[in-house]
Amino acid sequence: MKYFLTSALTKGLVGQILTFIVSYGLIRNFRKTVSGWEVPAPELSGWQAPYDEPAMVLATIISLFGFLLACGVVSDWLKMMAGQKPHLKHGAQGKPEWTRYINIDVNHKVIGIQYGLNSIFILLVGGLLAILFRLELALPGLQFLQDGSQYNTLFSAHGIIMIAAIFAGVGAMTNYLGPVLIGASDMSFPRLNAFSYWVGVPSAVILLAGIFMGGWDTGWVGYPTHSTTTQMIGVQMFLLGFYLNGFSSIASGLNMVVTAVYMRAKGMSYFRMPIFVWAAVAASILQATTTQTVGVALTMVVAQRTLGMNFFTPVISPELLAAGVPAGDPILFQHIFWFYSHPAVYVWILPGLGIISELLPVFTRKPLFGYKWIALSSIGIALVGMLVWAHHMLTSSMPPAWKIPFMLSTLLVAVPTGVKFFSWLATIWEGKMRFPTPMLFVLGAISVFLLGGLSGPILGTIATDMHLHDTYFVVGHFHATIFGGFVFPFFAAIYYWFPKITGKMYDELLGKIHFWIMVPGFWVMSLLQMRVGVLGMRRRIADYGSDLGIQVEHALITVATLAIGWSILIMLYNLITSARKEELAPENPWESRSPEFLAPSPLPEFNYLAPIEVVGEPYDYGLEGATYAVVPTPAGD
Amino acid sequence: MSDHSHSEAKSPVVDKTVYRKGFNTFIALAVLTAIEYFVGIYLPSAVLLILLAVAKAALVMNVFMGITKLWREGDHH
Amino acid sequence: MAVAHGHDDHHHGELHNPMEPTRQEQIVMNRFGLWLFCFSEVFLFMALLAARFYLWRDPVQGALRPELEQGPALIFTCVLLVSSWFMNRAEVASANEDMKTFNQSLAMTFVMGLIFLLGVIFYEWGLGLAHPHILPTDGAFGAVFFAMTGMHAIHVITGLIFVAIVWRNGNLGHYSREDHWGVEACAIYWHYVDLVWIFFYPAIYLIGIGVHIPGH
Repeated sequence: MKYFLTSALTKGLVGQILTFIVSYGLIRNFRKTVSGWEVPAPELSGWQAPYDEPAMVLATIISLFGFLLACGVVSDWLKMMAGQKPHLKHGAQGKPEWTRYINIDVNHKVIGIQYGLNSIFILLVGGLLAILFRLELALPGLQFLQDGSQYNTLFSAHGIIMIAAIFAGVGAMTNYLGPVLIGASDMSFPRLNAFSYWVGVPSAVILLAGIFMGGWDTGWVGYPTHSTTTQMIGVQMFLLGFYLNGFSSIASGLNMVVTAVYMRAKGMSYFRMPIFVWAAVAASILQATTTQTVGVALTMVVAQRTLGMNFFTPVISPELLAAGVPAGDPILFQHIFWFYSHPAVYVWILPGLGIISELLPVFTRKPLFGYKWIALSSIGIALVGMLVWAHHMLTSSMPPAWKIPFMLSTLLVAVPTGVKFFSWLATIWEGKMRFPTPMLFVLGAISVFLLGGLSGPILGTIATDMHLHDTYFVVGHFHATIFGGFVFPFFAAIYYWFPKITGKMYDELLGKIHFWIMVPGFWVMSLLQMRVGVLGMRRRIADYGSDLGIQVEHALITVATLAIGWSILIMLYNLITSARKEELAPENPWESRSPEFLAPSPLPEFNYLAPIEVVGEPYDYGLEGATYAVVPTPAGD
Repeated sequence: MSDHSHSEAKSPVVDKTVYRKGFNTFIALAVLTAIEYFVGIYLPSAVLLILLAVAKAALVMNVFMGITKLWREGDHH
Repeated sequence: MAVAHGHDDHHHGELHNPMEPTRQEQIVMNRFGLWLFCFSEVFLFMALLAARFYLWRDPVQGALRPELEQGPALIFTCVLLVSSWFMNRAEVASANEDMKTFNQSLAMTFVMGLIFLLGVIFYEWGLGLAHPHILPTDGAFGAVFFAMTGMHAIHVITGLIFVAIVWRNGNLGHYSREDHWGVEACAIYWHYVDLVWIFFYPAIYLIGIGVHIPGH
């Protein structure tokens, strides 16, 4: 308890709340008393805000600094500014080992676990919200929610909170696995790595606070002109939380790229890197670049709401209009927003697809088919992914001539994705397959991602999208890609590296039960979502008519959602009880050739007791005499 | 840049060329800015203005920011 | 979920990383990281430029721009350019341990940067002027103008803080011929801020047909 109260987490949260309250009070009184410098009020007529909105925005931004200063993640940098040369603090600093996870720690494995715990926590919150509104949707009519805006807050929050959870999950995989797989002791910039994690915590707090401070009904996309005029001012917290989370993405993205370029083990050329690292680098390039644009889009909405700057409203005063001054345009937001938010889904799925390619050869005991093609297809998906954004706007007022190139580029994404699919099939072909839980999740991921992938071109084609846009078909497609591309591979990775992380083995039976509940549950959910969408169910609506004939489907989707929720609780039970077991896991339970299994489990502070050396190809399973990595001579001991 | 210095540390005589290179770049940038201004006022051509900006950017990245150090001192592998 | 047990813990609380990069290796990585950061920021400024070219246009006439005073804008642009040259001098000086030139040049960089910043805030934004040339509420002109200059000004402020810190640490003798990464980083960042203005200046002041904003 003493350690918990003095942890960086507690300090940061207290700092954040205190700075928020103090700065909110100060700014609000300042605005009340000082009339000389008039802050333009948002153009909302006849609306009594429960909060002073501009003061809330400024105080929220200041509260981030409150968190960062109080938790101490920037103190080393402040010392450097003051001319000192602080060195990296390794280890638990004399405290119990578990306190590392709630304190500032620069070790990439600790940060990876922090991301993972954070991800699972936020995932549970987002999942709970989904279960709430799925219960509401189980029957036509309003069940227990008061009105539509409560429902709107629920699904909007579900969207953005799950996105935060997925980013944390991606952070967990790339941070924990990235340096280990390339034979490094840590990331290139350990302090920046800690910063990436810790800046995400106050952003998550801000996002969650938005639910209680007014809520918001804009969905996770926050399109103007609705987001610039909605009276649910939790939208500001949503915009800021989303924006500040971007710092985490940018910093961790460029850290991973630099690490992969400069920290590789001796002998590990680019085309001998584990395939997951290629995927992580591709995702990191997207994270480090496109995230900036969504920051601009969100800042613009905040500025329009708080300062009255007209970016997105196509109406201006007659005087300005007569003089030829242009007005804003809501389509601009959609362009800038999707320039990030489409590549963002590739940030989520690329590491997941990398995990699939990484684990398949281990469990089929065969070389990975077409290593170079898979490696380059990750980069290909990332690059093509930057050129497809406007397919989210095929039903908008964008000029029709722009729509066709975007349709074509969208269909082009299927090519590198197809490369991955055929490589997986060819890897499985005639393999000596084994089916422990991680392999089941890999196969589940492939099946579910196939469902998501096949429904994609239907939405990317203008003619069919006209009918399916904004229906549940989109919801079904999206969840299939994200479960197949992120959730299932993430779980596969958790089960696969669990013995490496903890030194203990998970319970195989519970793992299999988890799988056999979750996969059928997901298939039912996703397929029926697509079906009700085709039958006319719109997304983002709290109610539907009983004459649509989709009651049975909706009830089944709700049941499937509950099943998925329970199966995840089974996984958590399994992981927690297994981690507390006495019995140690075997050194290399999967007979993997990957370098991390050359080191003891759990991994030592600096991963390898001596630098490893790569002497062969990474995935030559089943070839006699093939070696990937060796430890020259273990030092000391 | 330290390649230019011979042996002893604090000998500012050696570095005149490097300072001079910076100054020449500065003059070139100033001239380009002046051209830019006159193009903008008297010959409003967006393409020409963007080309001028790209030329200025290339100079700044090359000389002032030393982008070539990325590959000259870059790979330790 | 422990990371490390047994092996090397609990000696003096000091763990040594056998694979720790050397200072020279770290500098190479720092340089690449900083350039990646600059590249990342390109997307931020590109988004603003996209907004400028998307909104400041007329279906018939093509690109538009607000009619603003040309003289001061050109002067501020030149001031930033001069500051860039002084930054270069300071960097070369620190690489040669010529502390006098370093000191003077960096101080000049700071002063020039400050003049630019104050010029933008007090003249271009019209804070303190009775009749500002442009207001944030002036349609898409005001919105994008303040977004572009404001985002650039934030980077100038960061750069000024950076310059001040490096100036102080340089005078405390923290940089040497072999290791003056702090100065180099500051120089790259400051030139980058200048680089952004190289694109923003024509985009805001020169490209397109000038439209007079009524009421100013």
